[in-house]
Amino acid sequence: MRIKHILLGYNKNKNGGEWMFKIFKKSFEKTYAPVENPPAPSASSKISTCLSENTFYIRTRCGDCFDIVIRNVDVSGTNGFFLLCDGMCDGLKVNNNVIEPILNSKELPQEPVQKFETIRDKIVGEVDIKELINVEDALEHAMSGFLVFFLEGVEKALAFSVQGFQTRSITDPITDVQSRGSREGFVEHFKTNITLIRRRMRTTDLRIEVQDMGTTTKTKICLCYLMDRVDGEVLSNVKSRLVRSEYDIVLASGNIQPLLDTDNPAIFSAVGVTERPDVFCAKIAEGKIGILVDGTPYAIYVPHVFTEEFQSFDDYANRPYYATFVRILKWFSFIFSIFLPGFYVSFGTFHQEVFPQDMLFQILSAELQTPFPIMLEAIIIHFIFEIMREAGLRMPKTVGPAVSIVGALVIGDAAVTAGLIATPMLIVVALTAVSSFVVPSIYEPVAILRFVFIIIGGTLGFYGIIILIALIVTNMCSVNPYGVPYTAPLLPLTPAATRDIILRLGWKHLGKRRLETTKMNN
Amino acid sequence: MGEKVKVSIEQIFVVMLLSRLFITLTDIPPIIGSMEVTDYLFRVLFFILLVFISAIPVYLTVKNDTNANILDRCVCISPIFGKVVAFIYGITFIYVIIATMARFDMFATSIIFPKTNFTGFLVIIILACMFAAILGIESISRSSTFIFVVFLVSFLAVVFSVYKKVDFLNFSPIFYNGAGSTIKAAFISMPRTFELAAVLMLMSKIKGNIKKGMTFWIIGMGLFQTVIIFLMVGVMGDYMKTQLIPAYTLSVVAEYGFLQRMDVLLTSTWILCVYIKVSVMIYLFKDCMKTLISDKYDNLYIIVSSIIVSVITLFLNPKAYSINYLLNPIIPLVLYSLTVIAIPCIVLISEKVKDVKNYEK
Repeated sequence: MRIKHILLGYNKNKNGGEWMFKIFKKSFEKTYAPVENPPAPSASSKISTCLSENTFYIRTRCGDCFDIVIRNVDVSGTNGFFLLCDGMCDGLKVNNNVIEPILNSKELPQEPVQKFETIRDKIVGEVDIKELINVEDALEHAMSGFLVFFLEGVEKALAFSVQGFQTRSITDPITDVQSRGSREGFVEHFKTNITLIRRRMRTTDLRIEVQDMGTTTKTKICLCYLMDRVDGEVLSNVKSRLVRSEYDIVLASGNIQPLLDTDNPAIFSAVGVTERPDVFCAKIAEGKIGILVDGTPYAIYVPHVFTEEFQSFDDYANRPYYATFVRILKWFSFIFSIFLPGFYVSFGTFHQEVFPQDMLFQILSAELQTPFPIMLEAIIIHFIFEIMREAGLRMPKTVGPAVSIVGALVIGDAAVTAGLIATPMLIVVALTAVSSFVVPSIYEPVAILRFVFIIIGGTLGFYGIIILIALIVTNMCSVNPYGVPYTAPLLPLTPAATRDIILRLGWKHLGKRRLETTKMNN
Repeated sequence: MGEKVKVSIEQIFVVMLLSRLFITLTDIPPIIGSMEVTDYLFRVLFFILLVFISAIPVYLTVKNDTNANILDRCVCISPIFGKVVAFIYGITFIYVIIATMARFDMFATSIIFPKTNFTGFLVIIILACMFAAILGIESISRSSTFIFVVFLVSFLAVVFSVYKKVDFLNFSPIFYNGAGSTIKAAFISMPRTFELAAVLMLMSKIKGNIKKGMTFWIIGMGLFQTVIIFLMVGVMGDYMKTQLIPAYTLSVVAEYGFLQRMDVLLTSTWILCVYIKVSVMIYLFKDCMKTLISDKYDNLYIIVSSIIVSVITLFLNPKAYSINYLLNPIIPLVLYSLTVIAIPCIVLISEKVKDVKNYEK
């Protein structure tokens, strides 16, 4: 017997069983069948004076969505309805600021249009009120947390800003950690982020332009820039790139980053990312264009140059000599993290004469005990490190200590004791790993390049590494998406800008001339 | 006419310096000429003088007009003449690439990879140069500044470590066997300075005072050569004449406290000079082909030239031909005379005649 027969109360009368199954099937299809050919959004979906037409359109577009709520009301003898998205609005504001004043008002004109205008101008206490003429706009506003009001006999609707959905509170930024910077980081809601920026830049030159991206998600994108400092060509370039996009879904700033990045294949990204409003404001003050994306705490800015990866907000809070020391440390860490394993492999494989004699004996005695060639050893241990790093990033916090023990004891100690990995190699890997987190913003290209350098060093020696360095530098020099070379201000050299690259001079020197990235070209 | 790309004169100066330095560093005494060791220094003096004199047409060409390069100006005189000139310059640049690779082949098989097959590395370098040429002259010139800094550091490291070993007893009396061989050696070295032809091709893309840049380049080139030869002679004396590449021997001798045998670090920067030179020459060959054939297929010309160079470099007997290239002064002399002296003179005379005719009208 088939299950459907059991469920439907099978009887020997096959016709009866089939009849009941057909009823069940019909009911199922009625409830769950996809709407074939739903009405497409039309540009001319104007609000009708007839409420039932508007209601029908909304119901047809949204289907039986649980959270789309239509509340019919009688406003002094005229029918109307409120449209909202359950969970997106602040209940108190909806009741106290909008619905109660409208329903309790007694001296409203009888004529619908005049009634509508009186409600808009005199009755409702909300500051942000928009007039809509299109049902599609009304739906979009409702899904953004607005309360939309329709009135019989009026070809418009009112949208009241009563958003009250749950958002994350402002907390410490996770990725951009500074010792003396503020403890505020961007959050997912773009209006909160705009507030964080506006609090720091109370100038009329600050422009914030909002647009929608993504045909399905209609995500809010905010362009922020200073009118008196931004380069007009760069701004129009950025806007045209964003407009040209055919994205369906935009859920993070990383989704639009490729639109703003260089068109040529490049190793490093020419778009900067930050989680900090103070850094964001500093970049805008240099004439750059910042972009906030609703739904993600990571803001992006363009144009971005390579030397900015080594600058941090703390540099300007600390004394110049210490800030300079930290910058030099970052540059050295970057060099170690990319080149150290490749150099070690190439010298160990091809150019042993480079090592001083005593060091050579130590390395030789350690490497002779391992079964793998140096290149393979380096690749294996780095690959294991990447696995552990990725596991550390994704794993639940409860198993964190266990992974640390496995990493430290099993892989670090046991592998060396068993003779699988040489101690000098482990020192190189450890130093490389720690160095790569000094500049975490460029970890991705560094991690990949490290492997490439290991392979090149193990096959072509130091000469191959040198050629690869030349290629990488040439590739970086070719990145020029907004007329600002990615390697500026070092290549081409802008002498005025070098006071804030490796050295961080005092404020007397830094304050002499305003530094604008968009002016660092050939 | 010139593209939108503009490169500063300082960057071009660095590109030209690096590309010429490789020849100086890998000069073999028999190629330079059989002279007494001190006369090598005076050879540099005569060489600089000869370069200045032979560069007069280039100076005058640059002075007249920098909005168009030599090919564009030849096309203005006559389209056919422009194509012929483009062909000559194209052949010249291909020759320069092959000669450079042959010199590098000789250097690498003797020094870098004496026991192994070097073919793969040559191919890799050509591919790297092809990639750089595709990225354009802006990228090459910017990266050359970085390479110059690296080269300078290694050069100064050698200088500071070996200058204490200089012994003035190693210097021979000046012109002990007469000045004839010294002057002859300068004439052999001069036609290898194809960077002047590169300036003629690039002048529409350079911003800044080109004449000043060229002057600094020639003087800078002379200074570098003088320092290198001074150290070679002062440290090694007559022993230098027995070495295949004396500059390499100098880097082997350099030591820094407990760090010895740093020659691999020092000589690796010489490979970067090859990289810059070959990249620029491939790029310029592409410009010649655009005038000769069609200006549609930028990357195709670069790829084709790389393949031609690779085939010639790999499949002909490298050692035999490399020595032929290096010892035979006729080919570079003919090409140099054409590209640096004759063609610019023809262009200048034609433009002058045109100006006179227009004035008379």
